Amino acid sequence: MFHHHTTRAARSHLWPATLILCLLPVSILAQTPAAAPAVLDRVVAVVNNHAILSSDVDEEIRLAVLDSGATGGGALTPRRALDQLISRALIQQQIRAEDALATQPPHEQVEARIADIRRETPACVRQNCASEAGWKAFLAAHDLTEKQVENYITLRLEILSFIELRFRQGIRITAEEISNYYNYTLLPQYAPGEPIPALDRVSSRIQEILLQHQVNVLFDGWLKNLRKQGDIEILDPSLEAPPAQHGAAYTGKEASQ
Amino acid sequence: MPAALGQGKSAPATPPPAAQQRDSIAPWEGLPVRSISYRGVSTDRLRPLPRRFEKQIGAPLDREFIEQSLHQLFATGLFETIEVTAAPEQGGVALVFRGQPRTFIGTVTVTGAKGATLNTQLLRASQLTAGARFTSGKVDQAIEQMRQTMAANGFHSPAIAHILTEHPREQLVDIAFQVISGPQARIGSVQVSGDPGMTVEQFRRHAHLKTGARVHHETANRALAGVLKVYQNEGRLEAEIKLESQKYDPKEKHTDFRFSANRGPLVQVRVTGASISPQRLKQVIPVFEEGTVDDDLLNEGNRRLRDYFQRMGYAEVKVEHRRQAASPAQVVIVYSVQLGPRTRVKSVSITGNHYFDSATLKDLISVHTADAIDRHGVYSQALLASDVGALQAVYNNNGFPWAKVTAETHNEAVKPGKTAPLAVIYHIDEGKQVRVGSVKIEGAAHADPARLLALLNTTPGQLLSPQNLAGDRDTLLTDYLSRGFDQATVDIAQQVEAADPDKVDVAFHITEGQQIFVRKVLLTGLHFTRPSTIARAITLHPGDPLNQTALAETQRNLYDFALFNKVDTAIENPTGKEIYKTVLLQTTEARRWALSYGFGFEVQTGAPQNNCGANCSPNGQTNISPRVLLDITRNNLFGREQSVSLRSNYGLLEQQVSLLFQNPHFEGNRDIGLTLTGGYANSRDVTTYVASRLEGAMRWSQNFTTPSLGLSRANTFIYEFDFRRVKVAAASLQVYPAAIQQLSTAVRVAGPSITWVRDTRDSPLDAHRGTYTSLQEFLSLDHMGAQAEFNRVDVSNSSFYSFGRDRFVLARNTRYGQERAFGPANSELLPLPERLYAGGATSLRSFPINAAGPRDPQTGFPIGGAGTLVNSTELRLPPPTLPWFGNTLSFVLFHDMGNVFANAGDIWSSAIRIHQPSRDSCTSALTDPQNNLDGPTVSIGQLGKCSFNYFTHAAGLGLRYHTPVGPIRLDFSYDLNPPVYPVLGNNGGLFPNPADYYMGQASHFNFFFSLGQAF
Repeated sequence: MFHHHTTRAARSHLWPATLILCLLPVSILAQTPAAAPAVLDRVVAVVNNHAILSSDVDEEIRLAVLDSGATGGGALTPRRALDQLISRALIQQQIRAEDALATQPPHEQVEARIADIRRETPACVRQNCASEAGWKAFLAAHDLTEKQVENYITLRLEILSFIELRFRQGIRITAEEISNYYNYTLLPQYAPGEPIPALDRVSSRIQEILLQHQVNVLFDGWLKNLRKQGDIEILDPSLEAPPAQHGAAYTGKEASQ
Repeated sequence: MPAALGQGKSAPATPPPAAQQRDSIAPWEGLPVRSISYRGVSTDRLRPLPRRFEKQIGAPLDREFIEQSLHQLFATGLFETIEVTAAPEQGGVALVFRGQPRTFIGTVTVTGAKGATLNTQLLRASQLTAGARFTSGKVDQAIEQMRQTMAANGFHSPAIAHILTEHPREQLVDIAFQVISGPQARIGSVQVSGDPGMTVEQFRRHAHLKTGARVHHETANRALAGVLKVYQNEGRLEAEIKLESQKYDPKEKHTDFRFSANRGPLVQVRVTGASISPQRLKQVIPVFEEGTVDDDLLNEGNRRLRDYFQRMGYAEVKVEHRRQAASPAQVVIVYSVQLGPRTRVKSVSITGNHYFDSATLKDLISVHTADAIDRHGVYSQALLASDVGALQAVYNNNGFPWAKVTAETHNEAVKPGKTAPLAVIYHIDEGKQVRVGSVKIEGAAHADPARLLALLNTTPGQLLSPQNLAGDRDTLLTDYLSRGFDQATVDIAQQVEAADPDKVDVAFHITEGQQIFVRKVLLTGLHFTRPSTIARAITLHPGDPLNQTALAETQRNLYDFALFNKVDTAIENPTGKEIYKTVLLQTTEARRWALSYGFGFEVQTGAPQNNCGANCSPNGQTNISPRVLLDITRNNLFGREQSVSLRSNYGLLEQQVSLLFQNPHFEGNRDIGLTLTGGYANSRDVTTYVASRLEGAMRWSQNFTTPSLGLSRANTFIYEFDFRRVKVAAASLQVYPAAIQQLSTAVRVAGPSITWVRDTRDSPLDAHRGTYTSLQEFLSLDHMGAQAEFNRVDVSNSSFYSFGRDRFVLARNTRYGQERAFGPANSELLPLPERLYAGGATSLRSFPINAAGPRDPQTGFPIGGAGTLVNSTELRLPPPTLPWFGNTLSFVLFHDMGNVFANAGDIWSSAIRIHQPSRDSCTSALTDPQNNLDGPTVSIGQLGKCSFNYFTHAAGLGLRYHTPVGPIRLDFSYDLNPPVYPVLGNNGGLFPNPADYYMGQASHFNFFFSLGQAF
């Protein structure tokens, strides 16, 4: 049980929990009758003077197929996709502002991650993504290009790296906190009689869990603050989220869970 | 789509149903772009983007182009919303970028609110910034904030309406708020909770909360400050007072206040072990100023007390404090001072310096040895630390990046009660000196690196100086800013040369950013002023790079016209990435009518007397000369930078009324000014007579704002034509009777005048360095209508030298004047008011006002001269620290010498004479008065036998009380060799009784009280 828990934590360290299982036809992309000009694209939201296009929302929805399990089985709606894009835009702007912390992931890391996706993403596995032909067919089926996927993964890794650097450095986990977690969280999960691992053996794992938890807390507050202070404007009323949904919609938060 | 068009795809005749189409761009991708057009914002406004997009015409449409175009167009900031649509056109696609144009805030005005400053307060509260994006939300927010401001001013039910005036072509909207204030709240009830230590009535009185008085924005703050001041005066430095609530009762139209106040314990600050006055203690210990007590402030008190006593000569002083709670109602803070032996800074020395000599370095340090003024010298640890920093900086900036400076003090042991000599030594470890190897400019794509290098102070071979590098970075940034690169950044990289470690290569790396240009300059707010009047002031023009320096200069130029109360500059769409931007110049014209008035006075010895007839004294009398000024001016005459003023001046010495037309920048020329004056004056600034003057003048002035003909900004020329009719009132004339008729005849004086002024003083009110020179040549000519023909040259030169770290000023003024009459015999007598005079507060202080020089042979009254030479020298001392006055009072030692002479030719021969020549001749006049009228006849008339051809010398002491508008001056002078003169009669003739003849003498002692330095 403990082993299972830590494995999931490590994986989610790289991947947000928000999942998209299917793509949605987006009404805003629909063609108009022949006589009238067709709307190809438009600005749907503005984040501190940075425009988010309807095609960005569409692409986000299509790319969600790569985030297996991130949406917990639900569809990524345009509204949620836009919310993710807004959060990402805010984080990107901070990365540019705090240039010293920003880290571009090496190409090898990006390739390795894409290889993981091809190997592990259920939708991809079903289409035999491990083979080049299967991968290409998968991308074509979802209106994606290799370039789009590469850019997306690069950005995600950059953000994760930023979050690690930005929030992890100042956190100190004390021996008392590890001990408390061991005694009051971990041990009660073992059935009576089940062999219990010694604290020494699991303390480094517990430290990692607590560290990630702290990162999540800090990141969550930071992102909420960014949204509060940022100038965010949604131009398409159909994409406006109810007020309660604002504030914690970026997958980076779940990335550290 | 015809295949001949050569494209692999054709436009969809019927687009597929939405359900089957996930990507709206896909069907159009690859089709040739036939046209691109824009809706909502004009193509011209979007330039140069459309020109870039034109390259896409004919090329296959791709997704990237669509995305980039939308991002770029939206980033211009000109669209609220934007979309791109496609339609089939000639087998290809016609793209249309359409959107709702964004609107920006133009002018914002607030009118109608009651009170002198309330409209301005409301404007500030609205936070609507010209040029910024306009949204209805911002207006709503502005109204809410304005309501809060109104409420703070006691207006709780104001009506605030606004009118939006759109200028769609410029994408601007003007917002005009109209406010109806409604009733103003009055002060109602006051409640106080806690332990205020006073009754509510007392609280009200101290808080200035009088029932029924109007509430305004300072009411609450004034109340808090008033009560807090009472607590502080009582010594309750830990008192707390807070405004809990301020509620408006709409029925009663009253505002009720609720405060909480806790007076806290009495805080007493005592100093043991040393003596310090209560006033000084309050200045030194910060708890009094801050009105609160905490550890930081108490510790700061330790430091300040230590510095204070160290400056008083106790270098080894130790200060500690302890806090004693004597009772719950009282806290005593005791500063224990251990003075140690009194010290005297005996020596200040510098060791280890090779590059700079000690004298140069000593000029930089504040600690100095004892001298006549600072009997114990100047020393404190704070000054010592500051000196170390100053020395460190000078070494660092001269190529010694590793220089280390330390300070050391040595006390000599002395017997108790004796002053201990203190030696201060600054040790310098210079380290290695580094020079600049190479200097490079990188990243300058829009500037010639050679030109930029020429702007820099840092050059190869020069000593490496962080100060120079920082200055050079600013120079480069200023250059880029002046060329419209408002996002430019400059980074400096320094690299020690591998081949020569004594050299450092310097690289200035420039990130230029986008260059911004001026699209249009929109000038608003002109109601009366003609645009042509101010056209030359606007130094930014469409197409120019958006030069921030030129923008500031334009603002300054507009203010220089004195036609505007306010000139604001703004950039429309400041955050948008538009390359061509609109500059907004928003002016508020000043009132066209101006009334100014003033009152002043002079007090001096020897002031001319009034209505004294035969009893007038040749030396005048000690008198106060009040003066009242009243001017009415009409500015902005005919919409131009010109004005007409009626000026009047009424005082004992002069009464004057004049009409003045001024055009300070003739035809918009910044360097040429025109003034026309006409008026009447009645003056009595010479004790001998009362003169009237009817005059008119035309004056052209020429400045040199841009260097020309080798003349700097310091130079001014004034070209003038004067016409005046001068007349001396016969009844007032105190001269021998035979001269009265001729001297009292009205005389016309007319002719050209030229004046050159060169002013390099650092401050006209209280100069420390520089010079001031004026030279005036005036010619009164017959053919220009003059009845008295003469030539007058008047030269004055002042110089100012500061020394002793700018604390002492040696000031000198020399005036030379000569006058020569010519023409027919009947016009050769110089009219009395046109002669040269000296004496008074701003001239030769050995004499009363205009009393130097020749005197009438019978009455002894001064009659002016045809030549003058006066020299004044002043040593202006630094202000000592005095009780009550602090550093506002200073002293001046001065010496004045010179005189006025009957002929200019007498000046130089008299300069070396310190005694009045032939005093016997003056004395002999008492026994033979008729013979005294047998002196020479010159251009100032008949002289007596008493000669005034010598230099008088006066020494004096002056006090200067320094104020923001210049010093108030009190000068006491003692004339070492005043002249004597016979007094044989008055303007009625010789005294009938010879026993009344007497020998007059100018006073030894004179004093003058006036404003400003003497020169």
